[in-house]
Amino acid sequence: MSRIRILSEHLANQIAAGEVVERPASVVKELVENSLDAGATRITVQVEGAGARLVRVMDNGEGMDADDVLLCIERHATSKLHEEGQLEAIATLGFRGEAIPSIGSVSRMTILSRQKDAAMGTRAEIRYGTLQRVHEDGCGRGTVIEVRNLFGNMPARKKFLKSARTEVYHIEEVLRNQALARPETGFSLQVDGRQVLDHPAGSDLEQRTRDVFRYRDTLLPLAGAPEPGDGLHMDGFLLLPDAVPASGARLRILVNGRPVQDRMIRHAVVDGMQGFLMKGRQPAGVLRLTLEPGQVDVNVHPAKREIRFRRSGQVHAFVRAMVADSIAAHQETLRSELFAVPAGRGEPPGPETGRAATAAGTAYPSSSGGGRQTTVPPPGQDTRPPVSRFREAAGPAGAGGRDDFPEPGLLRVAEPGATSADVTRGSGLVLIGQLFELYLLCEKDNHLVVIDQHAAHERILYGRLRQGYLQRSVPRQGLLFPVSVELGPEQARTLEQNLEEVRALGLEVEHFGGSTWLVKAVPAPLRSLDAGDILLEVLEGLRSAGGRDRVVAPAMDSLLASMACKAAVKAGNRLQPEEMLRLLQEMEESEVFSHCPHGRPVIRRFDRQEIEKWFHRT
Amino acid sequence: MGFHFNIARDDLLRAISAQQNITSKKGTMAILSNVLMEVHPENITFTGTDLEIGLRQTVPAEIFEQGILTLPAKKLFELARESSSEVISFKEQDNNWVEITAGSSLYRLAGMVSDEFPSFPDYDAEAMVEIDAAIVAELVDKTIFSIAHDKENMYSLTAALLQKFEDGEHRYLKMVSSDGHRLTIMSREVGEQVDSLQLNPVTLVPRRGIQEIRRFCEERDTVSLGIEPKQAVLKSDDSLLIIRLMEGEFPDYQRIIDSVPRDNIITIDRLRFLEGLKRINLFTEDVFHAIRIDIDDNTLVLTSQNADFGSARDEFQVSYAGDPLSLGFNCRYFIDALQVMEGDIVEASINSNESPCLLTSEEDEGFLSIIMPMKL
Repeated sequence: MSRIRILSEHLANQIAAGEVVERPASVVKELVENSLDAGATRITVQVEGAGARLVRVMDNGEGMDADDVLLCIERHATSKLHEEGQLEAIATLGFRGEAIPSIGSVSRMTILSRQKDAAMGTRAEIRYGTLQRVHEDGCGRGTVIEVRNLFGNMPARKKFLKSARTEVYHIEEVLRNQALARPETGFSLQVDGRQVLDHPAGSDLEQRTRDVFRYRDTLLPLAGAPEPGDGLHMDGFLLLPDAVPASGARLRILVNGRPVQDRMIRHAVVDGMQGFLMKGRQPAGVLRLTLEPGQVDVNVHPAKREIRFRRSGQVHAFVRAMVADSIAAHQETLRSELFAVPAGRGEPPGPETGRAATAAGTAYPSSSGGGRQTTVPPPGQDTRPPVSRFREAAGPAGAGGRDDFPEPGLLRVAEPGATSADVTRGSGLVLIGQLFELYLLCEKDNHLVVIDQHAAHERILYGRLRQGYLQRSVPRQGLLFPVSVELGPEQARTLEQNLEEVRALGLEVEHFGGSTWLVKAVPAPLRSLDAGDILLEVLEGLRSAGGRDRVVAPAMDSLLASMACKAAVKAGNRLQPEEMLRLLQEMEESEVFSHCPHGRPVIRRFDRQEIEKWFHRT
Repeated sequence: MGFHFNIARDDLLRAISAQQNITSKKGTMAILSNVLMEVHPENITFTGTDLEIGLRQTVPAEIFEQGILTLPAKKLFELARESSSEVISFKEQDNNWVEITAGSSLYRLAGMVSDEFPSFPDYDAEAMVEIDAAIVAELVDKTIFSIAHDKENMYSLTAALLQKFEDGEHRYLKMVSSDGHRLTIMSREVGEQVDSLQLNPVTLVPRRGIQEIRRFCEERDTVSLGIEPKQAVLKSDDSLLIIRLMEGEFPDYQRIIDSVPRDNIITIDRLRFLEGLKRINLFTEDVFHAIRIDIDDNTLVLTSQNADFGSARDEFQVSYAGDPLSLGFNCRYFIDALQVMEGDIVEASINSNESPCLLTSEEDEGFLSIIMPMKL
């Protein structure tokens, strides 16, 4: 007698349940996905006993007739996939036809469903995989599925459930992800009769993002113009990296409406935020990627948490570029918010002080509206920093015309001797003074602006060093003992395609044979680092940049950053008003100013309302 | 009740300052910043170690009571240095306290019991040979600068390679160091006694060990040297230095030396070259000190450029008959080599900016330096 036997259907369902139904949250996920596929606009989830006692999902979707109700509890029965060709292009969330029978095999499940036009609904009761009863029953339009006593027939599995708090957290996560995927759909979650989440229907992604993350600060929109012909499209919002606590929020990735965990996309986001994300911080926000169903394989993981992209390199470069653009756009917004001279206030103030007049001889066009200017004083002029753009109010007379100006002297932090520098304006940013010999305090449009002088200066110097580095060709230090490096096929291809670029970065590489390459020279500033590591890092940088930017070897970047850090003003350096103004001006003029090279924020703003709250003025 | 002795301040200071170099390394074992003092009937031995290097010294003293205890080396050194008294008296008290009297000053210094102090390694006194300390010092001085620093890439290059070879009747000791961009070799003739010195297939003395060897050779005429599989031993009448050797391979440097053609030679006044380099170095970039060397028709031109400050140029006469050359180098590498070289005239074999530059001097037999060019 043969020892190999076909599994009984019940056993097969239980095994499938092991993959699909891992914990109560998986039940919620499968049922909610079904509801969404049924076109529901309002989904209510009720949970008792952390989901082990009861999970009830109610929707107002299209519902099922009696035949469908019976069929859906059969394995591999699905309304979503009819022929093989469709597997290539899956547009619905579910498709395997495994969820309902799997859940049914490990719980006591009741399905109650009515189609819109039907007079009566159908009720089916399944007990651990066996259909107990089917009868007509009255109910509202849509489907209600109750799952009771989950894993009641599998004590071993039940033992593996974590604490109630953990299981509820996972259920909440499922709903948060779905809520972001479908902002137009209403979601609510009740745990033991208590309303935990309630996201109203008809929302948009921005509002939904704020609701889900409970976030009030600036959102950075990710709006991706699809690359022609790829059908690749991205939208979403990133939370301001400085505004969220390190552990609070996280990045939620939705691909074709499906919440997924994808290391490649996360990496691309982190890459795109390079220099704006502190070490150890994770990006947070929601990223919705849409691409032609044929370009992505969702059928990799039974719970569909992982996916594969057909052209992952392209997706990576696209996401990275979109994130980088969004960050850059935010930088420009911040620039104009901080430095723009508001209309009507940019007019040259009445009496110029003698010093401001001599500083550059001429006034810069102060109605520039904060546009980026890199004007340099004509040679031969006073070599003092061109501070004229930062006009100094000459005591009370200078401030006279502006009601919203603080009274000079009231907020005086400057040197006792510096009588003329009571209040100073830097293209719309009013310098109040220096705090703790580390922070510059400024006022702007009902905001208190606090600037970390070291971080600000460090960023400016770093930008300058980096630019200089990119403009010049890097000297290459020859190696006495060439270093051999093994490259994978993809790395080798990247290298072959970018030989010139790699050379310009100061690396001299030769093919030695097979997968072995020889590094014969390294960038002179990095000569004490491992030549192989430098090459691998550069290749990784080239790959993720996708040819968009000029790449700087990461080791070079950190060298430049540490050079900038050493040269920058430190905490404890007392700055004269002229120096502070100069720093503000350089911030305005530098490409990136909001974060130091290590991703630490340079600027914090407190709005007037917030400050008034401190004093209970509101 | 513990030791009690008087010791001459100068003897203490000499011993403890040598110990302090070794014990000052930061580490997790507190006892290693202490020096072990063993008071014998006739003298005291001081022992310090960082587990990589161990130094043991015997110092005469006027002993009243014997004993053994460890004391913090740094405090002991500072105390001896600041003291104006000729004799310093040590008396151990209860609970490892030591009362130290130096003239009018009285100190109470907390010691630690010696139980935890690592045992000093054994060594094979039979296998040691006597050697002129000046020879060892010269080997070190002329190669130490190009040993790679710890943070640098190739681990085995953070040590110097010690070798011996024979040429006809003559016997030589040779030290080689490289940081991957330059290579320095120094050979010195030594006596027949070296025949009994057994080296390992690859004898790598770590950089810190090399520094200690150099210190050990100061103020001494001869030292005994022994190389064992795991350690190098240096010994004099009153001191013993044991260095743990590094394991690893040293790159095949001979192949590089052989690959340099010796037919395109520039003859340069060493001091003039050094002067020019030091001036030019004022205007190089801080991190990599790039300079350009142009040689044409007996004239050598040095130029450098710094993005922030400007540029510099220096020129002088050399003797060169070959084709014009234009090369880039790290200025420091030349300065380091020329500074330790002897003789008025050096010879540089340079062919192109692809191949290494080889520096020698007829007046500095045994010295050879190779510097890889930089492509600007």
